[in-house]
Amino acid sequence: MKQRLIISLIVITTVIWFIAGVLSWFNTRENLNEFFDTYQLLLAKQLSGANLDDLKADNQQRSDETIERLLNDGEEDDDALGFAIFNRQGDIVFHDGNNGKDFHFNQNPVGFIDQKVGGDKWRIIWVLSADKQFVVAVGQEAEFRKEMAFEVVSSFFIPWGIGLLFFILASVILISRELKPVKDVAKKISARKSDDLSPIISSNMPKEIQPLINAMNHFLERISVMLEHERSFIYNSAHELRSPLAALKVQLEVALISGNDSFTRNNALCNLEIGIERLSRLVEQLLTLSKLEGGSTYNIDEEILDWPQIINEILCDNEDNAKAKNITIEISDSGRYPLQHGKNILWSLLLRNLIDNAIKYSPVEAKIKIELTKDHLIVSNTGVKVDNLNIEKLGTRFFRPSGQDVDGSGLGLSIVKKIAQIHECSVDFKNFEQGFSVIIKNR
Amino acid sequence: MRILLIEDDKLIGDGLNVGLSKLGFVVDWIQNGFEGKEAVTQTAYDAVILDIGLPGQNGISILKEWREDGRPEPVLILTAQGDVNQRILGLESGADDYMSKPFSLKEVAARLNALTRRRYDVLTPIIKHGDITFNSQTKAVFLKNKQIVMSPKETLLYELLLMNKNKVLSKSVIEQKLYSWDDEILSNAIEVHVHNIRAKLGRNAIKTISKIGYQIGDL
Repeated sequence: MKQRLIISLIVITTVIWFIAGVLSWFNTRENLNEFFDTYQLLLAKQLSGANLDDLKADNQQRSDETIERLLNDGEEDDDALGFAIFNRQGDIVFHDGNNGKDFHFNQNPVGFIDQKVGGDKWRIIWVLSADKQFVVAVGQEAEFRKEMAFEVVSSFFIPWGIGLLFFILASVILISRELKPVKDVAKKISARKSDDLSPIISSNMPKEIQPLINAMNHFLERISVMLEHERSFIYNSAHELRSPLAALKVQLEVALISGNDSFTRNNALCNLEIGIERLSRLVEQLLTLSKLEGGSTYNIDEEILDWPQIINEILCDNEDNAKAKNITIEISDSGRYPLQHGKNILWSLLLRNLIDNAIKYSPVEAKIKIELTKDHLIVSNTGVKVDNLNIEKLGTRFFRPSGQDVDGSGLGLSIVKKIAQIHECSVDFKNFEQGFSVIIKNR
Repeated sequence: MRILLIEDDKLIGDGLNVGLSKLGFVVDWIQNGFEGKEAVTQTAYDAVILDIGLPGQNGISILKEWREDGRPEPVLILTAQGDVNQRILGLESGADDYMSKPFSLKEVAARLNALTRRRYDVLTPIIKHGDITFNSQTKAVFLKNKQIVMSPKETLLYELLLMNKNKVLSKSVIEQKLYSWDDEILSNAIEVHVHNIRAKLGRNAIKTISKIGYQIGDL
């Protein structure tokens, strides 16, 4: 950025300097032309107003004296300025003794005319004398005017150029100094370890950069929270995998040391199968939760929710499990639903988890009710309640109230909560007189 | 050696129960913290395997209560919480050893053997008594360097008497050490085992102390 700023600054100031120079050049030329034209005109008027009777004597010999008298001072460059006086017939009767003698008579002697004199371009004013007997011509070499303009412009440009150099130098120093804190921060960030997500400290940072630093710190904070979340998820997952793995390992060892005891070996192998199924369920739940929490974005407005179809599928899937415990599942469908749009597959997963839990933890002959209204979805079961101390912890990953006889991963309600959250719904767990209910409301 | 196993996970508990029994231990398995805490007062266990995350009462709190009550049973903590702080907490609460899940059944057995040896002041796993050598790790018995095939209960009984070299053990104590709650005990079971051991290792391998019980023989 620094390099780009400096280069841009040099290019822009140089271009502006150049444009200003060109404009000055034209302006000076114009002003000088006006000045010299006025000067020539005044000189011509002076000459034409002078007593030119002496010239009738045609005595060029006295011209030096006359010239001295006619010209107020002798500072003008003879090469640059010249004059000549003609009679009406076009004969030169008097001249400056230099370039004036080469002036060509002009038939229409009024105003300025550019003329070649001795191969050079001259600007000449032609004026009639007061008695209209003579024509006075005062000229100046065009090249002289150009040189003068150049000298004037050059006299400005040299200090301007030095000023420009100082300006660029000062700008480079200033830019470098002002951008130093940014450079220092960049160095510090580059030198950081990949796991260092502490905020960027920026005490001397320019005010304009501070919002960027604040935004970066906010971003770092969010990454830090997300990483911590991921770490804790991995730690908890690894931790929760220990028990099912221990079960598999010990049952395998029992099978291996069973020798001829086929009863023990077969029993251990059956337990191994149960353990593998348990581990598979846990891994499946972990993957589901990981996908849901992995930051995937779901377009929840895309699909129209088919609640009857979702409920029907869940009932079919759980029919056998419910029958095995003589549990009845009642549906109360008002025909109006808490959500019209959402992901059918996710709501199906949510309900599957809730019904699965309700069947697993309810005693035999319990009743499960699924209630759908325009405000909420409630899944309740009779016969079992959750300790009030544990209700608040429900939905926390891997949390299972102690004293459970039924296997579980402790992830089912976390999945339920996450799916509800994706659909901007709230989840409440409540005990009621006969049992326990999960209430999902549209926020 | 009679072991109290307090573990709520059914598959792990079943595996340890069956596996350790196969390796020559007598195991009582309890799945609840409250019941486990009380069980240790009912029988003289040689060691306890204790899980931490138990329903009813947490393993660490059970252990602390035992130690406050002066219970001496060696305790091996077996848990999924395997980080260093958890280990330190377990050991500082009175545990004698700590193992993280997943574990090896044979390692659990070896550690239980080491814990019980310490309890009986036996320094090495090889115990020599006259011409008889007993390997408490492999439960193998040698007479004049020749391995003698013995049943698990006979091995257990002989090991028990060897560990309690200078003590006379009553029949009821021996029964407690040899049989778990679930086992059915015949009234003359101990006499039968003693008879069989004498037949295999010699008449003087076990001494009968009249009306009191049995002691390891003078060889």
